Amino acid sequence: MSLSPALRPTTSIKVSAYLTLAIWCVFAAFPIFWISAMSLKAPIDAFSSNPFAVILGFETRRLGVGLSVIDLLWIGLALWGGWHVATRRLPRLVAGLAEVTGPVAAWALAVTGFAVAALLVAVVILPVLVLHADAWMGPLATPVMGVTGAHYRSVWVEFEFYRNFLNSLMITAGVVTVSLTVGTLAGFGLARCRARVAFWILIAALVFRALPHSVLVAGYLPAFINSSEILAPILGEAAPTLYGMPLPVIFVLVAINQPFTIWLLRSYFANIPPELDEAARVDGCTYFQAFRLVIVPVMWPGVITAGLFSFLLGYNDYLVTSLLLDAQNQTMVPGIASFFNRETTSTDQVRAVAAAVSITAPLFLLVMVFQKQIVSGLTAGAVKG
Amino acid sequence: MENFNLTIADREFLVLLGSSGCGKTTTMRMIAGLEEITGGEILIDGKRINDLDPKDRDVAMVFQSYALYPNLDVYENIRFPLKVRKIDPAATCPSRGNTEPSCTAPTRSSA
Repeated sequence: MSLSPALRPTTSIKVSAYLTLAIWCVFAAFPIFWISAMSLKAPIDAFSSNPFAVILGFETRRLGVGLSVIDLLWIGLALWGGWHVATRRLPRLVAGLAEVTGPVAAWALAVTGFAVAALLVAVVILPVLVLHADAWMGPLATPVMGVTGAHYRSVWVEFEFYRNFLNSLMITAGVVTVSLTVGTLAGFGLARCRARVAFWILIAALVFRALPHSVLVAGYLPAFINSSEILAPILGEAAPTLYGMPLPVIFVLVAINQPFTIWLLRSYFANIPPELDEAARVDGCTYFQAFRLVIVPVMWPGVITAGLFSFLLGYNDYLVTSLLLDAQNQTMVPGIASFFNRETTSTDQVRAVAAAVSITAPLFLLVMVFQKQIVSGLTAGAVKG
Repeated sequence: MENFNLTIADREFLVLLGSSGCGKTTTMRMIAGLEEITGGEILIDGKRINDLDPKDRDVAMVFQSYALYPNLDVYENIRFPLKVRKIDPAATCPSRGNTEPSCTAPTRSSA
């Protein structure tokens, strides 16, 4: 698409735009790049005042394994391959699977499969290549960069970070499921309802959205601690003490997030012409079938966006999870905080950094798999018929 | 809408004309069941259908815009009413044995 000369940006505008973007990218990417580099180094290098020591790891190279040019190529190839599979192959695979299992199950299967494959490549295949493929490569195989995976191993194996990971997974899955179910139904209802009540419900939602999270936590805390007494009349002896369990955390996080999800989804639904669900109802659908068979498929990008926001909230939350969960149900974010708080040796600090990098890895995977949906969800405005 | 009486005979072809906002669309929506009526009666074949859902009234309606489901292709668009009513297209129309779709997305074929 070529613009008319009058609308074409001048060279100076182009240059300054790209420059701004480049500078912003550097600022945005720097922290993640830096902690990734730190987490792979021995403490001496990780906290060195010389930035080259942090990146290239002189001391680490002396102590253990280093990466050669060939190894870096392998890693680059693995990253490129992962990106290629996630963006090109996976969507086609999902389209095929969806015919059999339905779209949700197909995506869930695809994400799980991709995650397992990525883990396998990163933890098993790459290290083998790095350790054993060097021997016959000659001068290219001399290590140029010191790297050690010891901190990751101690975080995930010794300190059982995988428990935190599984807890995070469970809580996030719960939050996303509940808030999407309630959000799509409520959003659709409120978008189609012409009564005044709908307006006041939305205003109330906005008010609750504005409440600080600490208010919700503090308000629920006594109820959760005493829940066995409160629930005794209904559940009898089996009434549980909810404090410390994942369920109430899901409950509170949904309470925090739901108003936003409803608003977001309502505005998406409002953009879909009512003719569409009316046509479906004349064609023989019940109200709910019209919603499920016609509106939700059209809404897919919006649902993905709302799901993404709920996911990020559940995944990144510190306040609620740290206050309401006991040690064995701890999620990743409070887990990382406790790593930083130990701070007895510099090794502990590098471990904390490694844990902090570990928490971003699943996000990268998800973004790789869902990038098309996320972009279309963020940019989709109206539906054209 | 107030004080409106209309009888349509079987196989009659009727055209509603009027200035904008006078209630042509509302009338049709009330017949289809998309608009609640506060008084009076609507009868089809002598049967009162006031309280029936649109799907049970056996009416068809073409909307001013958005007559197509954008997520379905042409074949699925046409088959949709049969599908939700769980009718097998081949069984309904045996002379058209070949119900294989020629699939194009509606946005492309109707633009």
